[in-house]
Amino acid sequence: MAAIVVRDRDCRKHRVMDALMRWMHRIGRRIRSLVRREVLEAELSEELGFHVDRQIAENVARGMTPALARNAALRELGGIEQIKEECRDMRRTQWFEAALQDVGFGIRTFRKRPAFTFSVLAILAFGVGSATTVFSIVNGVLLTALPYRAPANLVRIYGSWEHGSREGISPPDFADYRRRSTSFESMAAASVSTPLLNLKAVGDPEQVPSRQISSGFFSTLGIRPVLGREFRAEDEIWKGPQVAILSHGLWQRQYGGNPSIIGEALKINAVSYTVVGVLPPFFNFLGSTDLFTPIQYNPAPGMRSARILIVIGRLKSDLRSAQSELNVLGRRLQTEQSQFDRGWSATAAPLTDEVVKDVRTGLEMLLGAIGLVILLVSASIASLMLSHAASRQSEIALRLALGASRARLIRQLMTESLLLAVTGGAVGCAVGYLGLELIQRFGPSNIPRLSQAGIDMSVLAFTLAVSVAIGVAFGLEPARRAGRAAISEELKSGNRTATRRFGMRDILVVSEVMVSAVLLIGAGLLVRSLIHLENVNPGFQPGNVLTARIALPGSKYSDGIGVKVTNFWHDAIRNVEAIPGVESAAVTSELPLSGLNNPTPRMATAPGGEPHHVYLRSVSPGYWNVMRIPLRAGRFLSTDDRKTTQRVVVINEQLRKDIFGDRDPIGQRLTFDFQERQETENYQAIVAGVTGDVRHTSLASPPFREAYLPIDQSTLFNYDLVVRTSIDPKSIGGDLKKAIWSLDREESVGALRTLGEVLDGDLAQPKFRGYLLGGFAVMALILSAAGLYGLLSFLVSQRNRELGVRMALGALPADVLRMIIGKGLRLTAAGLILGVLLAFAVARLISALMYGISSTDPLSFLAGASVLLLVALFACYLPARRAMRLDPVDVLRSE
Amino acid sequence: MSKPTDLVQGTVDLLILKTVNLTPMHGWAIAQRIKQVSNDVLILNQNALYPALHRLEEQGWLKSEWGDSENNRRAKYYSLTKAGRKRLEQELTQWRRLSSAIEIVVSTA
Repeated sequence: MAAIVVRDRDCRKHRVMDALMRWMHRIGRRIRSLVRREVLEAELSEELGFHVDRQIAENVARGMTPALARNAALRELGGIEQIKEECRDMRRTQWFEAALQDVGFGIRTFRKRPAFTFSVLAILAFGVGSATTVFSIVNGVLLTALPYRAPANLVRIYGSWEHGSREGISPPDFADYRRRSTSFESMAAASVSTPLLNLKAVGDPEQVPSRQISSGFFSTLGIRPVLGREFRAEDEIWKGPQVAILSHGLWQRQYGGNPSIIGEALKINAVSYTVVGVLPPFFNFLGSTDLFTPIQYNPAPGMRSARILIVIGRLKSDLRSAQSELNVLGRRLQTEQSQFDRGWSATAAPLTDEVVKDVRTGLEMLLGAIGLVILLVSASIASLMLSHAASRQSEIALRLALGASRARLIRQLMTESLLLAVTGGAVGCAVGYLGLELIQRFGPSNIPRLSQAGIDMSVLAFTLAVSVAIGVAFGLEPARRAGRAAISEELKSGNRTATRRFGMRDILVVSEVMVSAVLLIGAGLLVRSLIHLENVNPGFQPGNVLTARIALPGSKYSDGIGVKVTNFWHDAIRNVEAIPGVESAAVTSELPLSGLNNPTPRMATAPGGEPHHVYLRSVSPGYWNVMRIPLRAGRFLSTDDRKTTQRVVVINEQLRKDIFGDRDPIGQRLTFDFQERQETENYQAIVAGVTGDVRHTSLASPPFREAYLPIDQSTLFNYDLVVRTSIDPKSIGGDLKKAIWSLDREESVGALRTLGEVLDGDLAQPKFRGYLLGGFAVMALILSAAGLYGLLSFLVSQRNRELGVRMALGALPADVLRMIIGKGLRLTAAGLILGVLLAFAVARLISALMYGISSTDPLSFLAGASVLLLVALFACYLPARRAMRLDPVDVLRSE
Repeated sequence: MSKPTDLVQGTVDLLILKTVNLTPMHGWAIAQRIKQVSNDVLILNQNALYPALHRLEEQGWLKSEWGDSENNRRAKYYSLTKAGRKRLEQELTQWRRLSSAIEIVVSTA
C-alpha cells in the first residue's frame, strides 16, 4: 500500500496531550453508546431522515413533483440500512453490540437445529473431555517437574554390573562415592526396600511403610522439614541414635498435628525412637512412605556386596562430567575392593526418568491416541459445520442481499462456531474433570504420581486452546464460502445447480476412517496382548487363596536364636489351618506379583560355577501345596527341615537351567553370598528339590532364578500369609484375624487380598490401556461411520434430480446402489490404506506395551480392518438404499 | 456496491474538516457546500459522507449538537473540536506538500 511514503515533518509538541484528550473523549463516547444505544439509533435515523427531507425539498424546489422528488432523493441516498450499518461500524463499540447480537442469533439458530447442535457439543465434549483427562494425567505424571527443588539437577546413581543389570549401591560403596566425588553438590541414599513397620505412638497402632535414609537426603532433594531437622552424619553410625522422621500424614494421624512433638518418643517394632523431624505434606519419593529412620549399617567388609541403596545426587554442573568422575571413582573401587566390586561401576541418570520409566511408553501412547482423537473430533466437527453451512446457503444469500456486509456475515458465522467451541470446551472440561476423578479412583493404583495429577491451569489452557482452535478453523471455511457466495446466483438457483464442493468433505471422511483404523488396530494389539497376559500361567493357581501381610516387631520376638519367632509362625499357620473352610495355610517372605516386595538378589554359586544373581524366598513347607506350584524333581521342603538339620534349598527350574545346566542338581551344594547378615562364613545349602517357575515380578516378565529356604533355617519377622480355602476366601477374613490375635492381640494384620486380586493388580495397567484405547476406537468407529453416512446422505439429497433422471432413462436401482456405495467404499479404502500404514509405524513405537504378539500381528490388523470395512459398508448402504428407492416420477415432478 | 467517489479516504476527511471549520453544519449542508465550492466536481455521496462523519466524531475531531435547521427541523450540526482544528492544519500541510510534489512531477516529466 505504501507505494509512496510522504515524509512527515510535523512538530510533535502537543501530540501526547492531544492523544490523551482524544482518548478520554473516546472512552466517554464509548460508554455513552453502550448505555444509550436506543437514543443513538433514533438519532441516526433522524439524521438520515433529515437528509432525505432536505433532498426532497431541494428536488421540489427544482420543479419535481413531490413523488418524483422523493424517489430521486431515496435513489440518490442509496440503501439507508447500508449507510446506517456503516455508520454503526464507525462507532467502535459496534463489535460489542454485534457480538451480543451474533450470540443471540447464534443461540436461536442452534435452537432451530437441535440435532446438529447436540452432535457438535457431544463430539466436542467427548474430544475435549478425553483430551483433558489424558493431558492431565500425562502432565501430572510425565511433564510436571518432580516436586523437588531444581529437579533437573537431580540424578539417580545406579550400581551397574558389567553383565548389564542395574542395581542399587552398597552402603560402603555409597560412603566412598560420597566422600570422594567433587562433581555433586551433595549425595544421599535411601534403602531400596520399604518394609512395613509396626508403629505405636499416641494414636492407634498401625503398620506404616518405612525407608532408611542417609543424612542430607532431604536437603539434596531440596525439601525442608516443617518441624525439627533431618538426619545428620552422626545419625548414620552403626548402632547409633534411634531417631525417626515422620511424614506429614502420619504426624496428623498420630499426633493431630501437635507442633511440640520433637523429642517425643514413639515405638517402632516395639523399640523406642525419638522424633526429630516432620516432613511437609505430600512428600513422595518413589512411592509414599510414612516413617524414615537413618541408615545405620554394619561396617563389616561383606556389606560391600549388599547393593541395597538408592543413591541420589544433586549435580554441580552437568551430567556428563559427573558421569566421567563416577567412572574414575568406580575403577578405583574395583581395584581397592576387587573382592566385592569387580565388574561394578556407577551410572547416573536423571531422577525424572527413573520415577516414570515404567509408565512412560504407556502414557506417551495415550498422548498419541489423544492426538488422533482430536484429529478425528476436528474432522467430524468440520464435516458437521460444512453441511450446516450448506443448509444455510440460501439464508446467507438472503442476508447478503438485504445489505449485510460480508465482513459482518463472516463475523456472525465465526461467532457461532466460537460459541459452539467454547460451550463444547466447557462441557468437555467438566467431562475431563470427571474422567480424571474416575481414573484416579478406579484406574491402576501403581502409576507413580497419578494421585497428584489435577486439572491445573496449563491443562485448562490446553483444552481451551484446542476447542477454540477447532471452532475457528472450521468456522472459517463456511464463513469464507459465505463471503464468496454470489447473491443472485444462490437466490435464483433454488438449489438446483447445487454446489459440488465435495473435495473438502471427502478429505475429512478419509481422515476419519484413517484415524479409526489406527485406533482400532492399536486397540486390537493391546487387547490381544492383554488376552495373552491373562492367559499367562503365573506358575501357581490363584483360585480361592487369601493373603495377608504380617509383620512382627523384632524387639519383642528376637531371642538371639530365632526360636520365639519361628514358633510364632508355626503357631499362626496351625491356628489358621484350624479355621473351618481352610484347606491349608503357609507363609512366604515375598508374595508373587504383589508388586512391593522384591528383595535384593543375592549371589549364588554352584561348585566350580560362576556366581549368579538369585532371589531368595523364605517359605514354610506348606507353601507349594497352597500355591499349587508343581514339583519337578527331588522333594519340597518339609517340617523335618529344622534349624538343627542339614541346610537345604529348593530351587526353581530357571535356576537349575542357569546354574546347573544339564547336571542333576539334587544333592548339589549351593553357596550364597550372605555376608551382610554377619554370618561368619558363607551360607551353604544342599539342593533338595526343583519346582516350577513362578512369575514373580510381573506377568509380562519371564521368571527369574529363585531359591526357597525353609522358614526354620532362615526365619524372618515379616511374612505374607497364604491360605487356600474350600469356601469363599473373603468369608474367612474375620476368623483369620482372630486366629492371629489369639497368639498376640497387639499384632496388626495387613490388608486382606485374594490371590486373584493380586493378579488383577498386576494386570491393571495393561487393562487400563486396552480399555481406554478400545473405548477411543469404538467412538472413532461411530464417528467415522456417522461421517460417511452424513456425506453420502448429503450427496444423495444433492443429486436427487440427477439420480431421478438417470433412473427415468433406464438406470437400474442396482446401478444407483453401486454408484453410491462405490463412492463410499472408495473413500473408506483410501482411509483404510493410510490408516494401516500409519498403524504399522505406530505399532512399532508401542511394541514395548505388547506381550505375546509381534507389532505386526496379522490378526489385529485384519480384524481392525474388517470391522471398519463392515461398519463402513453399513453406513454406505443406508443412504444408497434411500437413493435406490427414489421414485423418478416424484423427483422430476417436484422440480 | 460501487464506491461513490474515487477520492481517497484521507481526502474526504480533509474536505469535511475544512468545510465545518467555517461554521457548524449538518450533513446535507456539508455535501451541498462541497459540491457548490468545487463547481459540481466533487460530489460527496451520502454513503461516504455519513460514515465519515461518524468516524471523525468517534475519533474526537468533530463534535455534534442538535439544533434547529433553516426550515425549523431538528438537525445534527457538526463542528470542529480543538483537536480537530489541529488535525485540519496537519491535513492541510500534508495535502499541500503532497499536491505540490505531485504537481512538480507531473509538470516536469
